[in-house]
Amino acid sequence: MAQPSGEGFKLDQYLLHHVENTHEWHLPFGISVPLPYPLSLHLLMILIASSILILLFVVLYDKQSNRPRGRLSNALESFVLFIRNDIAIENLGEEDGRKMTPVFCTMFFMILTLNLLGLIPLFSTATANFNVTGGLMLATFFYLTVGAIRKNGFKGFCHAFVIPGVPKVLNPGMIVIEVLGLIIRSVVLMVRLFANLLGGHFVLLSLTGMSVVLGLITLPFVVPVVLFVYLLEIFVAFLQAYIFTFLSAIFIGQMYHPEH
Amino acid sequence: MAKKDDNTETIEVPHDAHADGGLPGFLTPDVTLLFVTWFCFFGLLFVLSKFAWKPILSLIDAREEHLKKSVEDADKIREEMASLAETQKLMMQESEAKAQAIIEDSRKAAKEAAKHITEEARKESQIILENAQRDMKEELKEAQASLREESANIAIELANKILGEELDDAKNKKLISKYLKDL
Repeated sequence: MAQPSGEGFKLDQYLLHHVENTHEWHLPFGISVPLPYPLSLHLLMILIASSILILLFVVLYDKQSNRPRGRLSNALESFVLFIRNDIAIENLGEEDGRKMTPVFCTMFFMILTLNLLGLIPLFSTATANFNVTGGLMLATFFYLTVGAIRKNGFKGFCHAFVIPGVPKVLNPGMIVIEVLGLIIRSVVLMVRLFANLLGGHFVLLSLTGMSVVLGLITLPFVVPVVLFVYLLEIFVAFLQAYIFTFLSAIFIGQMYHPEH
Repeated sequence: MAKKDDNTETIEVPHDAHADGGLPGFLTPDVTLLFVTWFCFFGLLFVLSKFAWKPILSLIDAREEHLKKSVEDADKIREEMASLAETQKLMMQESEAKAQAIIEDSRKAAKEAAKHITEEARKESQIILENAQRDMKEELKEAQASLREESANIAIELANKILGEELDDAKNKKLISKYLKDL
């Protein structure tokens, strides 16, 4: 990467450069690895995150013992249990919750890994790209529509948009509003994750860029603030993964059990 | 990526849409990335479901079942222990009551036996006393009779001596008996 300094440094370009989805992977000492189409930097991050998850849960997780073994397995299991009990079963009921636990586990850990990868130098934040969060939103949307139709049938799926107690004459309008609501809720999921991650990185990059613009003398003030924001970003990485998964579970639960 | 500009370097942004007033690069829709992400999610879901989530969740369920059973067993054992303790307490109370009853019965029996023995002893002593009294009376009578006979003999002897006349024994005795009866 170039060493920006003094007057030639353009903060907006510096920010955009770091969140851009390019077809090159920038390594230290100015080394750039070109990525073949359709592989882009953020897609590479998705593949790396997927590999990490497979390594963690398929290889490193101790699945042989009937008792908790090792800190890693215990830590991962506490997350899995939390997702199963407090996200899946809580919002979809015992039967559907258990069935959908793998989906929510995959969703949570994929988003979390992508978020955390973005905080590690060399890697990029794929979840700060709305195309990536859009893909994840489509996964939720798939369960909101196809999953709900499969569970309740097409009639049951349509029935979910009819609000009981509303005069029949208002139903067409209400159905349109409800369908729009479903789409907007999904889009908001996408925007929330993307905007939070992007915003956090902009704050971090702006602070570091500021020390370049204002001079290295600001470093003693900037470094503690950057560290604080960095820790905050780690928290946000967990929080946003949880929020995305939790809201997906709520929306899917509403479509699976519209009577509630 | 970076280009030299005299003494300074600037960072080249791949998409210059931002500079043209259009969308910045990170906001440019990329349908390929969108759907590839979607496919990656389901691909990862498939792999992890088969090799991770299913075994992990089964393991957790098995452990939960095991824990539940262990807790139920522990509760059951605790209840049994409590029941056993209660039974033990009742048995102890029963044993104490029985022991108390046995002691009471023994005390009563001992008292009865003592009373009986005392009564027997009293009766026996009474009999002995009565026998002794009877023997004494008989001996007294015998003694009186013997004394009387002796006295009669002495009296006859004295009378013989006084009267100088000796009577035969048979007549004397007859006479004495007559006198004694008269007395």
